[in-house]
Amino acid sequence: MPDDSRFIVGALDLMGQTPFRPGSPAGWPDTAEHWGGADALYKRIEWSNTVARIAGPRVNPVELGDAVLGSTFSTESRKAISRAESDVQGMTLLLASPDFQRR
Amino acid sequence: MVSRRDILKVAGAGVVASSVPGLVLANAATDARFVLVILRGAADGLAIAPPYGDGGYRKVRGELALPAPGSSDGMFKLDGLFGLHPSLAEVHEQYGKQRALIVHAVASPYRERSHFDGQDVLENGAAAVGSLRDGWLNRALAPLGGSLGNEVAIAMAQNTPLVLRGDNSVTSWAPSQLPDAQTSTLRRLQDMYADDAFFAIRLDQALEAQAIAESDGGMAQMPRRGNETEQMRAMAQATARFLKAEDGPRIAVLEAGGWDTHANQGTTTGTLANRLEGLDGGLRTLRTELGDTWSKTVVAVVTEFGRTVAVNGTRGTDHGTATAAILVGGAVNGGRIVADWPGLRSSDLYQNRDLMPTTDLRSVFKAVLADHLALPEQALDTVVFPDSKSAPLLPNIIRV
Repeated sequence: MPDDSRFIVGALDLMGQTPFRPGSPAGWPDTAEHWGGADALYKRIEWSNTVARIAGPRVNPVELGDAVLGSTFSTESRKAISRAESDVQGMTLLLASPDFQRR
Repeated sequence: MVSRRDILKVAGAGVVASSVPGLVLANAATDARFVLVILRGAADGLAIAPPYGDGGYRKVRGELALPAPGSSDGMFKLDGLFGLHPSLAEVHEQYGKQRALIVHAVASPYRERSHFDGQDVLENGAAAVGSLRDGWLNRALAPLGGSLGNEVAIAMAQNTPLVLRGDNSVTSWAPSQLPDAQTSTLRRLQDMYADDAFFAIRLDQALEAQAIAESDGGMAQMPRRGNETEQMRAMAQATARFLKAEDGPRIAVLEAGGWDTHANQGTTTGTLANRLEGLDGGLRTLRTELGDTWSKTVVAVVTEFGRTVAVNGTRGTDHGTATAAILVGGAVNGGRIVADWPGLRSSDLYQNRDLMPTTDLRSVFKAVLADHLALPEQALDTVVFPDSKSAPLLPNIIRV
Protein backbone atom coordinates (compact mmCIF):
# COMPACT_ATOMS: atom_id res chain seq x y z
CA MET A 1 0.00 0.00 0.00
CA PRO A 2 2.65 2.56 -0.97
CA ASP A 3 0.07 5.24 -1.81
CA ASP A 4 -1.53 5.06 1.63
CA SER A 5 1.77 5.26 3.44
CA ARG A 6 2.82 8.22 1.30
CA PHE A 7 -0.41 9.99 2.20
CA ILE A 8 0.14 9.41 5.91
CA VAL A 9 3.80 10.41 5.86
CA GLY A 10 2.94 13.46 3.75
CA ALA A 11 0.22 14.50 6.18
CA LEU A 12 2.48 14.10 9.22
CA ASP A 13 5.16 16.09 7.40
CA LEU A 14 2.68 18.91 6.74
CA MET A 15 1.68 18.95 10.37
CA GLY A 16 5.31 19.47 11.27
CA GLN A 17 6.43 16.09 12.58
CA THR A 18 7.85 13.94 9.81
CA PRO A 19 8.03 10.29 10.94
CA PHE A 20 11.54 9.17 11.93
CA ARG A 21 12.95 12.64 11.30
CA PRO A 22 12.59 14.53 14.56
CA GLY A 23 14.86 17.51 15.23
CA SER A 24 16.34 15.66 18.17
CA PRO A 25 17.42 12.10 19.05
CA ALA A 26 14.86 12.19 21.88
CA GLY A 27 12.15 11.91 19.22
CA TRP A 28 9.17 14.19 18.71
CA PRO A 29 8.15 15.80 21.99
CA ASP A 30 4.51 15.23 23.00
CA THR A 31 3.85 18.50 24.77
CA ALA A 32 1.25 20.80 23.22
CA GLU A 33 3.81 23.61 22.89
CA HIS A 34 5.64 21.55 20.30
CA TRP A 35 2.79 20.29 18.16
CA GLY A 36 0.36 23.11 18.74
CA GLY A 37 1.72 26.13 16.86
CA ALA A 38 -0.94 28.29 15.21
CA ASP A 39 -0.02 27.14 11.75
CA ALA A 40 0.32 23.51 12.82
CA LEU A 41 -3.23 23.66 14.15
CA TYR A 42 -4.41 25.09 10.86
CA LYS A 43 -2.70 22.28 8.97
CA ARG A 44 -4.42 19.80 11.29
CA ILE A 45 -7.75 21.35 10.42
CA GLU A 46 -6.97 21.05 6.73
CA TRP A 47 -5.89 17.46 7.25
CA SER A 48 -9.13 16.77 9.15
CA ASN A 49 -11.04 18.24 6.25
CA THR A 50 -9.14 16.10 3.75
CA VAL A 51 -9.73 12.89 5.69
CA ALA A 52 -13.36 13.82 6.25
CA ARG A 53 -13.89 14.22 2.52
CA ILE A 54 -12.64 10.69 2.00
CA ALA A 55 -14.24 8.96 4.97
CA GLY A 56 -16.99 11.36 6.06
CA PRO A 57 -19.86 10.17 3.90
CA ARG A 58 -19.55 6.64 5.23
CA VAL A 59 -19.44 7.42 8.94
CA ASN A 60 -21.77 9.07 11.43
CA PRO A 61 -19.40 11.48 13.20
CA VAL A 62 -21.35 11.56 16.49
CA GLU A 63 -21.39 7.78 16.75
CA LEU A 64 -17.71 7.64 15.84
CA GLY A 65 -16.96 10.27 18.48
CA ASP A 66 -18.84 8.31 21.13
CA ALA A 67 -16.97 5.18 20.13
CA VAL A 68 -13.43 6.57 20.08
CA LEU A 69 -13.62 9.29 22.73
CA GLY A 70 -16.10 7.77 25.20
CA SER A 71 -16.18 9.78 28.39
CA THR A 72 -13.58 12.25 27.09
CA PHE A 73 -16.04 13.43 24.41
CA SER A 74 -17.12 16.83 25.76
CA THR A 75 -20.74 17.98 25.62
CA GLU A 76 -19.72 21.10 23.66
CA SER A 77 -17.87 19.21 20.95
CA ARG A 78 -20.61 16.56 20.72
CA LYS A 79 -23.23 19.29 20.33
CA ALA A 80 -21.20 21.15 17.68
CA ILE A 81 -20.67 17.96 15.70
CA SER A 82 -24.30 16.86 15.90
CA ARG A 83 -25.31 20.24 14.45
CA ALA A 84 -22.89 20.01 11.51
CA GLU A 85 -24.41 20.75 8.15
CA SER A 86 -23.10 17.54 6.63
CA ASP A 87 -21.43 14.29 7.59
CA VAL A 88 -18.22 15.56 6.02
CA GLN A 89 -18.30 18.75 8.07
CA GLY A 90 -19.19 16.79 11.21
CA MET A 91 -16.23 14.51 10.59
CA THR A 92 -13.92 17.51 10.12
CA LEU A 93 -15.17 18.99 13.39
CA LEU A 94 -14.68 15.67 15.17
CA LEU A 95 -11.11 15.20 13.94
CA ALA A 96 -10.24 18.85 14.67
CA SER A 97 -12.01 18.93 18.04
CA PRO A 98 -9.86 19.65 21.08
CA ASP A 99 -11.01 16.29 22.49
CA PHE A 100 -9.75 14.32 19.49
CA GLN A 101 -6.60 16.41 19.02
CA ARG A 102 -5.58 15.95 22.65
CA ARG A 103 -6.34 12.24 22.74
CA MET B 1 -20.91 31.34 -2.45
CA VAL B 2 -18.65 32.77 0.21
CA SER B 3 -15.06 31.73 -0.38
CA ARG B 4 -12.64 30.77 2.34
CA ARG B 5 -10.59 33.82 1.43
CA ASP B 6 -13.56 36.06 2.23
CA ILE B 7 -14.03 34.71 5.71
CA LEU B 8 -10.32 34.78 6.34
CA LYS B 9 -10.26 38.47 5.51
CA VAL B 10 -13.24 39.07 7.78
CA ALA B 11 -11.89 36.89 10.56
CA GLY B 12 -8.45 38.45 10.27
CA ALA B 13 -9.86 41.97 10.21
CA GLY B 14 -11.87 41.18 13.33
CA VAL B 15 -8.77 40.13 15.21
CA VAL B 16 -6.85 43.20 14.12
CA ALA B 17 -9.71 45.61 14.85
CA SER B 18 -10.24 44.20 18.32
CA SER B 19 -6.72 45.19 19.28
CA VAL B 20 -7.56 48.91 19.61
CA PRO B 21 -7.46 50.63 16.21
CA GLY B 22 -5.01 53.49 16.04
CA LEU B 23 -2.97 52.20 18.91
CA VAL B 24 -1.86 49.08 17.11
CA LEU B 25 1.43 50.56 15.94
CA ALA B 26 2.28 51.85 19.37
CA ASN B 27 1.89 48.30 20.57
CA ALA B 28 5.24 47.25 19.16
CA ALA B 29 8.03 49.26 20.76
CA THR B 30 10.07 49.24 17.58
CA ASP B 31 9.63 50.00 13.92
CA ALA B 32 12.80 48.10 13.04
CA ARG B 33 12.53 44.75 11.28
CA PHE B 34 14.65 41.69 12.00
CA VAL B 35 14.74 38.45 10.03
CA LEU B 36 16.65 35.49 11.44
CA VAL B 37 17.49 32.82 8.87
CA ILE B 38 18.64 29.54 10.40
CA LEU B 39 20.61 27.25 8.07
CA ARG B 40 20.09 23.80 9.58
CA GLY B 41 22.78 21.18 9.06
CA ALA B 42 25.96 23.24 9.63
CA ALA B 43 26.82 25.46 6.67
CA ASP B 44 30.44 25.64 5.56
CA GLY B 45 31.80 29.10 6.36
CA LEU B 46 34.98 28.41 4.39
CA ALA B 47 32.84 28.01 1.25
CA ILE B 48 30.54 30.97 2.03
CA ALA B 49 33.45 33.38 2.51
CA PRO B 50 36.67 31.63 1.48
CA PRO B 51 39.90 33.16 2.87
CA TYR B 52 41.61 33.02 -0.53
CA GLY B 53 44.38 35.33 0.71
CA ASP B 54 45.38 32.94 3.49
CA GLY B 55 48.44 31.05 2.26
CA GLY B 56 47.02 27.79 3.63
CA TYR B 57 43.62 28.02 1.93
CA ARG B 58 44.28 26.24 -1.36
CA LYS B 59 46.32 23.52 0.32
CA VAL B 60 43.84 22.65 3.09
CA ARG B 61 40.76 22.93 0.90
CA GLY B 62 42.23 20.85 -1.94
CA GLU B 63 39.59 19.96 -4.50
CA LEU B 64 36.95 22.03 -2.70
CA ALA B 65 38.96 25.26 -3.03
CA LEU B 66 37.09 27.83 -5.11
CA PRO B 67 38.76 29.58 -8.08
CA ALA B 68 40.37 32.87 -7.06
CA PRO B 69 38.66 36.24 -7.65
CA GLY B 70 39.02 37.38 -11.23
CA SER B 71 39.38 33.91 -12.71
CA SER B 72 36.61 32.28 -14.69
CA ASP B 73 33.78 31.23 -12.31
CA GLY B 74 35.90 32.70 -9.56
CA MET B 75 34.64 33.83 -6.19
CA PHE B 76 33.70 37.48 -5.60
CA LYS B 77 36.43 39.54 -3.99
CA LEU B 78 35.53 41.11 -0.63
CA ASP B 79 38.98 42.30 0.43
CA GLY B 80 42.59 41.16 0.20
CA LEU B 81 41.97 38.14 2.42
CA PHE B 82 38.35 37.07 1.86
CA GLY B 83 36.16 36.26 -1.09
CA LEU B 84 32.48 35.36 -1.37
CA HIS B 85 30.97 32.26 -2.97
CA PRO B 86 30.00 33.03 -6.59
CA SER B 87 26.40 31.92 -5.90
CA LEU B 88 25.96 34.82 -3.47
CA ALA B 89 25.48 37.59 -6.07
CA GLU B 90 22.88 39.49 -4.05
CA VAL B 91 25.02 39.44 -0.90
CA HIS B 92 27.94 40.70 -2.98
CA GLU B 93 25.85 43.49 -4.47
CA GLN B 94 24.72 44.59 -1.01
CA TYR B 95 28.30 44.32 0.25
CA GLY B 96 29.26 46.81 -2.44
CA LYS B 97 26.54 49.15 -1.14
CA GLN B 98 27.82 48.78 2.43
CA ARG B 99 24.62 46.92 3.29
CA ALA B 100 26.08 43.45 3.84
CA LEU B 101 28.60 42.30 6.39
CA ILE B 102 30.29 38.96 6.98
CA VAL B 103 31.29 37.88 10.48
CA HIS B 104 33.89 35.14 10.16
CA ALA B 105 35.38 32.57 12.53
CA VAL B 106 32.17 32.87 14.52
CA ALA B 107 30.52 30.17 16.63
CA SER B 108 27.97 29.67 19.37
CA PRO B 109 29.38 28.50 22.73
CA TYR B 110 28.72 24.90 21.66
CA ARG B 111 31.93 22.90 21.09
CA GLU B 112 30.76 19.37 20.23
CA ARG B 113 29.54 18.10 16.89
CA SER B 114 25.89 17.09 17.22
CA HIS B 115 23.43 18.98 15.00
CA PHE B 116 20.64 18.60 17.55
CA ASP B 117 22.63 19.93 20.50
CA GLY B 118 24.29 22.56 18.32
CA GLN B 119 20.93 23.89 17.14
CA ASP B 120 19.65 23.80 20.72
CA VAL B 121 22.47 26.05 21.90
CA LEU B 122 22.17 28.31 18.84
CA GLU B 123 18.48 28.77 19.58
CA ASN B 124 18.13 28.71 23.35
CA GLY B 125 21.00 31.17 23.82
CA ALA B 126 22.48 29.19 26.71
CA ALA B 127 26.17 28.83 27.44
CA ALA B 128 25.86 25.03 27.45
CA VAL B 129 23.69 22.19 26.17
CA GLY B 130 20.33 21.42 27.73
CA SER B 131 20.06 24.25 30.22
CA LEU B 132 17.19 26.27 28.73
CA ARG B 133 13.89 25.11 27.27
CA ASP B 134 12.89 28.38 25.61
CA GLY B 135 14.53 30.49 22.88
CA TRP B 136 16.63 33.65 23.17
CA LEU B 137 14.55 35.52 20.61
CA ASN B 138 11.39 34.71 22.56
CA ARG B 139 12.96 36.01 25.77
CA ALA B 140 13.93 39.17 23.90
CA LEU B 141 10.31 39.86 22.95
CA ALA B 142 9.09 41.04 26.36
CA PRO B 143 10.33 44.66 26.06
CA LEU B 144 8.99 44.89 22.49
CA GLY B 145 5.42 45.02 23.71
CA GLY B 146 3.62 42.40 21.65
CA SER B 147 0.52 40.72 22.98
CA LEU B 148 -1.69 37.75 22.36
CA GLY B 149 -3.34 38.21 18.97
CA ASN B 150 -0.94 41.05 18.15
CA GLU B 151 2.38 39.24 18.07
CA VAL B 152 5.71 40.94 17.40
CA ALA B 153 7.29 37.78 15.98
CA ILE B 154 6.31 35.19 13.42
CA ALA B 155 7.81 31.78 12.66
CA MET B 156 7.69 31.09 8.94
CA ALA B 157 7.19 27.40 9.69
CA GLN B 158 4.43 25.03 10.66
CA ASN B 159 5.88 24.56 14.11
CA THR B 160 7.61 27.28 16.03
CA PRO B 161 11.39 26.66 16.18
CA LEU B 162 13.05 26.65 19.60
CA VAL B 163 14.53 30.13 19.13
CA LEU B 164 10.99 31.59 19.24
CA ARG B 165 9.44 29.23 21.79
CA GLY B 166 8.67 30.46 25.28
CA ASP B 167 6.37 32.56 27.44
CA ASN B 168 5.87 35.39 24.95
CA SER B 169 3.17 34.82 22.37
CA VAL B 170 4.40 34.36 18.80
CA THR B 171 2.53 33.40 15.68
CA SER B 172 3.43 31.14 12.78
CA TRP B 173 2.59 30.69 9.14
CA ALA B 174 3.50 28.25 6.40
CA PRO B 175 2.04 27.68 2.96
CA SER B 176 -0.85 25.29 2.69
CA GLN B 177 -0.64 22.24 0.49
CA LEU B 178 -4.00 20.74 1.35
CA PRO B 179 -7.43 21.62 -0.05
CA ASP B 180 -9.11 24.59 1.61
CA ALA B 181 -11.41 23.96 4.54
CA GLN B 182 -14.91 25.27 4.00
CA THR B 183 -15.72 28.70 5.32
CA SER B 184 -18.66 27.45 7.34
CA THR B 185 -16.52 24.70 8.83
CA LEU B 186 -13.98 27.27 10.01
CA ARG B 187 -16.75 29.33 11.59
CA ARG B 188 -18.08 26.26 13.38
CA LEU B 189 -14.61 25.40 14.58
CA GLN B 190 -14.27 28.89 16.03
CA ASP B 191 -17.53 28.30 17.89
CA MET B 192 -16.47 24.86 19.05
CA TYR B 193 -13.11 26.20 20.28
CA ALA B 194 -14.69 29.17 22.08
CA ASP B 195 -14.35 27.59 25.52
CA ASP B 196 -10.88 26.19 24.90
CA ALA B 197 -8.39 29.05 25.00
CA PHE B 198 -5.47 26.98 23.68
CA PHE B 199 -7.28 26.07 20.45
CA ALA B 200 -9.27 29.31 20.14
CA ILE B 201 -6.21 31.56 20.26
CA ARG B 202 -4.23 29.45 17.82
CA LEU B 203 -7.04 29.30 15.29
CA ASP B 204 -7.44 33.08 15.48
CA GLN B 205 -3.69 33.53 15.01
CA ALA B 206 -3.71 31.20 12.02
CA LEU B 207 -6.68 32.95 10.40
CA GLU B 208 -5.11 36.35 10.90
CA ALA B 209 -1.86 35.12 9.37
CA GLN B 210 -3.78 33.70 6.39
CA ALA B 211 -5.54 37.02 5.93
CA ILE B 212 -2.22 38.87 5.69
CA ALA B 213 -0.63 36.24 3.46
CA GLU B 214 -3.60 36.32 1.11
CA SER B 215 -3.96 40.10 1.01
CA ASP B 216 -2.89 42.07 -2.07
CA GLY B 217 -4.44 39.57 -4.43
CA GLY B 218 -3.11 36.53 -2.66
CA MET B 219 0.09 34.57 -2.89
CA ALA B 220 1.08 32.34 -5.70
CA GLN B 221 0.60 28.67 -4.96
CA MET B 222 3.64 27.58 -3.01
CA PRO B 223 5.80 25.22 -5.01
CA ARG B 224 5.97 21.70 -3.64
CA ARG B 225 9.15 19.84 -2.90
CA GLY B 226 11.97 19.72 -5.38
CA ASN B 227 12.73 23.27 -6.31
CA GLU B 228 14.22 24.69 -3.14
CA THR B 229 15.23 27.91 -4.85
CA GLU B 230 11.62 28.61 -5.75
CA GLN B 231 10.45 27.62 -2.28
CA MET B 232 12.94 29.93 -0.61
CA ARG B 233 11.87 32.76 -2.87
CA ALA B 234 8.21 32.13 -2.10
CA MET B 235 8.89 32.03 1.64
CA ALA B 236 10.86 35.29 1.40
CA GLN B 237 7.95 36.88 -0.44
CA ALA B 238 5.52 35.77 2.26
CA THR B 239 7.88 37.02 4.97
CA ALA B 240 8.01 40.43 3.30
CA ARG B 241 4.21 40.60 3.27
CA PHE B 242 4.07 40.03 7.01
CA LEU B 243 6.84 42.51 7.81
CA LYS B 244 5.35 45.20 5.58
CA ALA B 245 1.89 44.97 7.13
CA GLU B 246 1.39 48.09 9.24
CA ASP B 247 0.21 46.18 12.27
CA GLY B 248 2.04 42.96 11.42
CA PRO B 249 5.02 41.34 13.12
CA ARG B 250 8.44 43.04 13.27
CA ILE B 251 10.49 39.88 13.58
CA ALA B 252 10.43 36.76 11.41
CA VAL B 253 12.31 33.49 11.62
CA LEU B 254 12.97 31.39 8.51
CA GLU B 255 14.63 28.02 8.30
CA ALA B 256 16.42 26.28 5.45
CA GLY B 257 17.75 22.72 5.53
CA GLY B 258 20.22 20.76 3.45
CA TRP B 259 23.55 22.23 4.59
CA ASP B 260 25.06 19.01 5.95
CA THR B 261 27.42 18.45 3.02
CA HIS B 262 29.31 15.28 3.99
CA ALA B 263 29.53 14.08 0.40
CA ASN B 264 29.97 15.81 -2.97
CA GLN B 265 29.76 19.30 -1.53
CA GLY B 266 30.78 20.83 -4.86
CA THR B 267 32.51 24.12 -5.54
CA THR B 268 31.19 26.79 -7.93
CA THR B 269 28.43 24.33 -8.83
CA GLY B 270 26.97 21.38 -6.96
CA THR B 271 24.99 20.74 -3.79
CA LEU B 272 26.24 23.60 -1.67
CA ALA B 273 26.27 26.07 -4.57
CA ASN B 274 22.59 25.27 -5.20
CA ARG B 275 21.71 25.87 -1.56
CA LEU B 276 23.60 29.17 -1.55
CA GLU B 277 21.89 30.22 -4.77
CA GLY B 278 18.51 29.50 -3.17
CA LEU B 279 19.46 31.49 -0.10
CA ASP B 280 20.77 34.37 -2.19
CA GLY B 281 17.60 34.45 -4.30
CA GLY B 282 15.54 34.50 -1.10
CA LEU B 283 17.52 37.46 0.21
CA ARG B 284 17.06 39.31 -3.08
CA THR B 285 13.32 38.67 -3.04
CA LEU B 286 13.10 39.83 0.55
CA ARG B 287 14.82 43.11 -0.34
CA THR B 288 12.76 43.84 -3.43
CA GLU B 289 9.46 42.83 -1.80
CA LEU B 290 10.12 44.84 1.36
CA GLY B 291 10.54 48.02 -0.67
CA ASP B 292 10.98 51.03 1.64
CA THR B 293 10.85 48.76 4.69
CA TRP B 294 14.21 47.28 3.65
CA SER B 295 15.96 50.39 5.00
CA LYS B 296 14.79 49.43 8.52
CA THR B 297 15.69 45.77 8.12
CA VAL B 298 18.48 43.55 9.36
CA VAL B 299 18.68 39.94 8.18
CA ALA B 300 21.01 37.58 10.03
CA VAL B 301 21.89 34.28 8.36
CA VAL B 302 23.34 31.81 10.86
CA THR B 303 24.01 28.10 11.27
CA GLU B 304 24.66 25.81 14.27
CA PHE B 305 28.39 25.28 13.59
CA GLY B 306 30.88 25.08 10.74
CA ARG B 307 32.59 22.25 8.94
CA THR B 308 36.04 20.70 8.96
CA VAL B 309 38.80 22.65 7.28
CA ALA B 310 40.03 19.54 5.46
CA VAL B 311 38.07 17.70 2.78
CA ASN B 312 36.91 14.18 3.73
CA GLY B 313 37.08 10.98 1.67
CA THR B 314 33.72 11.62 -0.02
CA ARG B 315 34.47 15.09 -1.44
CA GLY B 316 32.63 16.71 1.42
CA THR B 317 33.34 18.14 4.83
CA ASP B 318 32.40 16.92 8.30
CA HIS B 319 31.01 18.65 11.37
CA GLY B 320 33.30 21.44 12.50
CA THR B 321 33.25 24.47 14.79
CA ALA B 322 33.61 28.09 13.63
CA THR B 323 31.86 29.29 10.47
CA ALA B 324 30.66 32.52 8.84
CA ALA B 325 27.49 34.52 9.48
CA ILE B 326 25.92 36.92 6.98
CA LEU B 327 24.24 40.17 7.97
CA VAL B 328 22.41 41.97 5.20
CA GLY B 329 19.83 44.74 5.16
CA GLY B 330 19.33 48.47 4.83
CA ALA B 331 20.17 48.96 8.50
CA VAL B 332 23.44 46.99 8.35
CA ASN B 333 26.68 48.93 8.59
CA GLY B 334 28.29 46.71 5.99
CA GLY B 335 30.84 46.57 3.24
CA ARG B 336 33.36 44.78 5.41
CA ILE B 337 34.35 41.50 7.00
CA VAL B 338 34.42 41.37 10.78
CA ALA B 339 36.95 38.71 11.70
CA ASP B 340 39.76 38.15 14.13
CA TRP B 341 41.16 35.66 11.64
CA PRO B 342 42.71 32.68 13.44
CA GLY B 343 44.55 31.20 10.42
CA LEU B 344 44.49 27.79 8.79
CA ARG B 345 47.79 26.15 9.88
CA SER B 346 47.09 22.99 11.85
CA SER B 347 48.36 24.67 15.01
CA ASP B 348 45.80 27.47 14.40
CA LEU B 349 42.86 25.07 14.28
CA TYR B 350 40.47 23.97 16.99
CA GLN B 351 41.41 20.38 17.89
CA ASN B 352 43.70 20.42 14.84
CA ARG B 353 40.75 20.15 12.49
CA ASP B 354 38.24 23.03 12.73
CA LEU B 355 38.37 26.75 12.15
CA MET B 356 39.03 28.27 15.60
CA PRO B 357 36.14 30.41 16.87
CA THR B 358 37.28 33.96 17.67
CA THR B 359 33.88 35.68 17.81
CA ASP B 360 30.85 34.50 19.80
CA LEU B 361 27.64 34.42 17.78
CA ARG B 362 25.83 35.82 20.83
CA SER B 363 27.90 39.01 20.39
CA VAL B 364 26.31 39.41 16.95
CA PHE B 365 22.79 38.74 18.24
CA LYS B 366 23.32 41.18 21.11
CA ALA B 367 24.28 43.92 18.64
CA VAL B 368 21.12 43.32 16.59
CA LEU B 369 18.91 43.29 19.69
CA ALA B 370 20.44 46.38 21.32
CA ASP B 371 21.53 48.57 18.41
CA HIS B 372 18.75 47.64 15.98
CA LEU B 373 15.72 46.59 18.04
CA ALA B 374 16.68 48.95 20.91
CA LEU B 375 16.50 46.38 23.67
CA PRO B 376 17.98 47.46 26.99
CA GLU B 377 21.54 46.14 27.08
CA GLN B 378 21.33 44.96 30.62
CA ALA B 379 18.52 42.52 29.75
CA LEU B 380 20.82 40.94 27.18
CA ASP B 381 23.41 39.70 29.66
CA THR B 382 20.84 38.35 32.08
CA VAL B 383 17.52 37.30 30.60
CA VAL B 384 18.23 36.86 26.89
CA PHE B 385 21.73 35.35 27.05
CA PRO B 386 22.50 34.14 30.57
CA ASP B 387 26.19 33.63 31.37
CA SER B 388 27.29 35.63 28.34
CA LYS B 389 29.65 38.21 29.86
CA SER B 390 32.44 36.63 27.80
CA ALA B 391 30.49 37.60 24.67
CA PRO B 392 30.24 41.40 24.65
CA LEU B 393 28.07 43.17 22.08
CA LEU B 394 29.82 43.49 18.71
CA PRO B 395 29.96 47.25 18.08
CA ASN B 396 29.32 49.23 14.88
CA ILE B 397 27.59 46.54 12.83
CA ILE B 398 24.26 48.41 12.78
CA ARG B 399 23.76 51.82 11.12
CA VAL B 400 22.84 54.66 13.44
